[in-house]
This record gives sequence, structure tokens and C-alpha cells, in this order.
Amino acid sequence: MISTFLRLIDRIFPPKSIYAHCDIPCGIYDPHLAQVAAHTVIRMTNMIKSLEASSENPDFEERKKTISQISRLTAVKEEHAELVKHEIRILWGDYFKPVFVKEYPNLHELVSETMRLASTSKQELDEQAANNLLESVQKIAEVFWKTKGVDTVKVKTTYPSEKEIVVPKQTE
Amino acid sequence: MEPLIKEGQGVLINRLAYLFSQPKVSDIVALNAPNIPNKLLLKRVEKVLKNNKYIVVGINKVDSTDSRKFGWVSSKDILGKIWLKY
Repeated sequence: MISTFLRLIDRIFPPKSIYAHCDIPCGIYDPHLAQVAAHTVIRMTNMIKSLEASSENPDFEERKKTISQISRLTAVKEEHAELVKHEIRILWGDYFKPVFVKEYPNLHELVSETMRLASTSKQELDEQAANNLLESVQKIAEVFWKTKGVDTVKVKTTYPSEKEIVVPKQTE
Repeated sequence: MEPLIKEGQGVLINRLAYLFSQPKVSDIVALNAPNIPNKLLLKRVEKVLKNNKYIVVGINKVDSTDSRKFGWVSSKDILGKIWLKY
């Protein structure tokens, strides 16, 4: 009876549509990959820096081997610095909305700083920049989880970079 | 939100429900879709955060665009509570 009455009202005054279903089943965002990539940048930077020649004037074979190693390590370093930028761009462009920027006013600067540090890590062999890059990505990860109402914790990784990673805090 | 609400069903929203109180966990609420003007969503309150912020999710979590995608919503975006469906 009420239903019929309300349907009749709807015919006279068409109601506004309300959506209970999604547009695209997505919602898969996670700053984890950016952090792992930043760890890789640190590791590659350290590995290049630790390369040493056997003598002041190494032979041609050793030079070839070292050049090859540096080329490979540099390629991976640059690839992962770019991966950090890619992942952060996705969070910035698709996930973070204006209200989050209002809530976390340093977010804009944080993203911008991360981009700059990733570029420096690509261009140079700068251990400090690589470490700062990871710290900056970790701060973004903390903000990301806060916007979801999830507490975070920094845990020591088993990666050779020997640094930490920000993960959601496990609740009992 | 199926099977709770089927496509094409009408819902009546009580816009006075949160005049003197705040949404609670499990309330089915109508809200403005973040970043999409003039689009309304119907979601369930999953978590109440500090400072009048809420985590809202669809009942069919696999198929829902909700706080897992757009993060928390503020109380000013929540328009009211579902009252009856028809």
C-alpha cells in the first residue's frame, strides 16, 4: 500500500537517482610498490658505490666487467626511480582527492619532493638522495593509510638495503 | 548493495536522521559521491573515525567503489539515513 503510494508520488515528482553500485570494481591502491622500488634505488646506489678496482690500472677484461656491472646496476636504479614516480603519480592523480590535501597540507610538497628526489637518484649517484627518497615515500604511505583510517607501523625489512617499510598496523 | 536493495527500487532517505546525532557503524547512508558533482551513493558505515569522518563501504565489497577507493568521507557529505525501501 505504502509502496504503491510512493510509486505514485514518484510519477508526479520524479526522485533523484542514487547509486548503490560501482562504476568500476577497482579500489586497488597501495603505496607498497613505491616503497619497494625506493629500497631498490638505495640498494643499487650502494652496490655501484661499493665497486672497487683490483688495482690502479686494472686490465681490459676487468674494465669490461666493471663497465658491464655499472651499466646494469644503473639501468635498474633508474628503472626503479622511475617506478617510484609512476606509483606516486597514480596515488596523486587517482586516489588523493582535494579534501585530503586540505587535511594534510604538506601532501602537495611531499609528492613534489618525492618526484625531485627520484629524479636526483636517477641522474646522480647520491646515497643521501636515495635515502631521502625512501623517507619521503614512507611519509606518503603514512598519509595514504591515515586517509583510510588505518594506523601504520614502520617495520624493519629483510632487504639488503637494511631500511624500514611502512605497513598497516595489524589489529587483534 | 544487492540483495539489500535491488536495482530500480525506491528508497526514502531520512535527511533529519543526523540532525542531533552522528552516523553509527552499520547505518546505511546516502552521501555525495566524492569528486563527482550531483551523484549520490548509498553505502554502509563501516568505521567511525575522529573529527566526523567515516569509512563507508558497499555491501558487495568485491564490486563496490567505496572508501577503499576514495578514502574517508566527512559528515557534511552524508545526507541522511535510509528510512524505507519500496
